[in-house]
Formats: sequence, C-alpha cells, structure tokens
Amino acid sequence: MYTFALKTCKYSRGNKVVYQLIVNDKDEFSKFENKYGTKQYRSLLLRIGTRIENLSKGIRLPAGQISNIFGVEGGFEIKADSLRVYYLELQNECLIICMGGLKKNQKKDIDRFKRITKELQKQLKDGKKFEFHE
Amino acid sequence: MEKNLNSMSREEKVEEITREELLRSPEYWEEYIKIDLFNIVQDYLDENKLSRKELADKMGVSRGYISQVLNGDSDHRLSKIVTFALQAGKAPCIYFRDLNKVIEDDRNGKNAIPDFDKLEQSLEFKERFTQFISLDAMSRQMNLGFSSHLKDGRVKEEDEIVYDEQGFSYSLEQKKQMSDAA
Repeated sequence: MYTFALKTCKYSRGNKVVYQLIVNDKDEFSKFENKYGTKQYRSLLLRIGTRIENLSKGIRLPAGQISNIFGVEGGFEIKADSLRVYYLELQNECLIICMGGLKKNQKKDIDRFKRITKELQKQLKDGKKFEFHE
Repeated sequence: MEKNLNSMSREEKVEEITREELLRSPEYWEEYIKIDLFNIVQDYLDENKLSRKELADKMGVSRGYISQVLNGDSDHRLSKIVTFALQAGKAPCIYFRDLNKVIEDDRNGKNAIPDFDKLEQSLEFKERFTQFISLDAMSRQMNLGFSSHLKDGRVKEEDEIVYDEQGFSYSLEQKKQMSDAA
C-alpha cells in the first residue's frame, strides 16, 4: 500500500503543471536527481529537465526522447542516453513524475512504475486528496 | 571504519540542479533548438503527406539523417538547420538575449523563451486596436456617438470597459493583452 503526496516540479513552466510524486514520504524524482547529479550524468539530467519543461508547455518531443509505457494508460518514459524518467500524464492537464533510473534497470523500474501508477490511479478514482509539499 | 571513510571521501558531492544552472547550460538551449527543428520537420511531413525518403530526396540528404532529426539526435550543422527551416517554409530567425535578463525573467515566472507567435498576434492586435481607439476618441470628441460596444469580437458589450487618463476606452481583457505585448 502506497501513500502519496505531490510537489511542484522546478521544470514546470507551461499550461500543464508538472508534479513530483512523493511515495511513502520519499520524493522519488529528487532522489533520482541526487543519485545521478554526478559529473558523469549531470549533462543528461540537464537534458531531461529541459525535455520536461517542453512537455509542460505542450511541446511534442521526438520519438527518440519519449515513448509510451505499454500497459499504463498515460504512462511515458523520457529517455536521455542511459537515463530514464517515468511519468504519468493525467487528462492532458498535468504530468506526475513518478521515478527515474538507469536504462539497464528498465525492466525492474517499469514494473515498479506499473505498481505505483496502478495504486495512484485507484486512489485518484476513489477521490482521494493528496498533500502538497513545498 | 577506514574502508567506510575512504568510500565516503570518494563519493562526489552532488549539488541540486537549479533553474539558473539549467539556463546557463548549453544542454538547455541545444535541446530547445533540436525539439523545435523536429517539430518543424514533422509538421512539414504531416501537412504534405511526405515519407522520410521523399523528404530526404527533396533535400539531397540521406534518409538516415532525416531519421536523426526526427529522433532528436545529433548535433546539426548551422547550414543544415537553415536548409530544413527553409524547406519547411520557415524563416530561421535567430534571437539572442542577455542571459542575466533571461534568468531574472525566469525567476519572476516569465518564460525564458518567448512565444513569438503569441507576441506577433498581440502586436498585430495592438496595432489594429490603436487604430480603433483613435477612431473612438475622435468620435467622442466630435460627439458622434460611435459605440465602443461592437460585436465583431474587438469589444463585446458584456466586457467591463475602462478608461485611461487620455479618455480612451477598452475592455479589461484588451488592456491586459496590450500590457503583455508591451
């Protein structure tokens, strides 16, 4: 059972608000940025941030930068070389960044993404209100 | 204990990516150009119902190169960016702004990259509206009863009307658009 909260993402700059999902009190996207903010991956993180900003403005990304997650309605992955970020798009109005990881851990991460989003969508459907964090 | 201390000292200190770092990075601006170029080319293919091969033949490049553009890959030569833009019927206007001003605008919630289409529309509107309010002011001076409440979409009857210090009248919505354009 997951508990969820939301936080506005610093890359949110357009009509579609971008949130970061906090799962069981852990800010997954910040955790991802802290882990891969090293010299080796920092350039890729900057590209991912820019791509998220473009998505928030409703700008289409090329096929090499984004793909659907099969089996998750509204589920997408943003790609940048060896990094992946997984998000959910809700009713064309907002994006919820759920988590991120390395390409080599894609299968395990996608499985986790599916579990999280299934529970998230269930709670949304049940009308559950989420806390907002600063 | 010693092993732990050694591994801790080897760990790289990671600083959070700030908006300022993002805007000062080449990655940010490269991504915007690549994504823009992709959208121009994809729109052109869709509107003209061309295949990648047909576009490649038209431009005298390989199909693989078209795929790179459509995948958002690769660093493009300036000449290729210009060629793609012109082929798609777009003028590749390049616009440089003071970076510190961009960062300051971003901090104040404004977009780092202006929406030029919207800006153009606002300026066009402002130009047309300036002509309109000149007529309005003139007619009121001459007491001709020229109505500001027209139904052609410029000023609607139900809009709240405000007057500036020179006596020109316009709706709150139009005043906001003119401020945004300025």
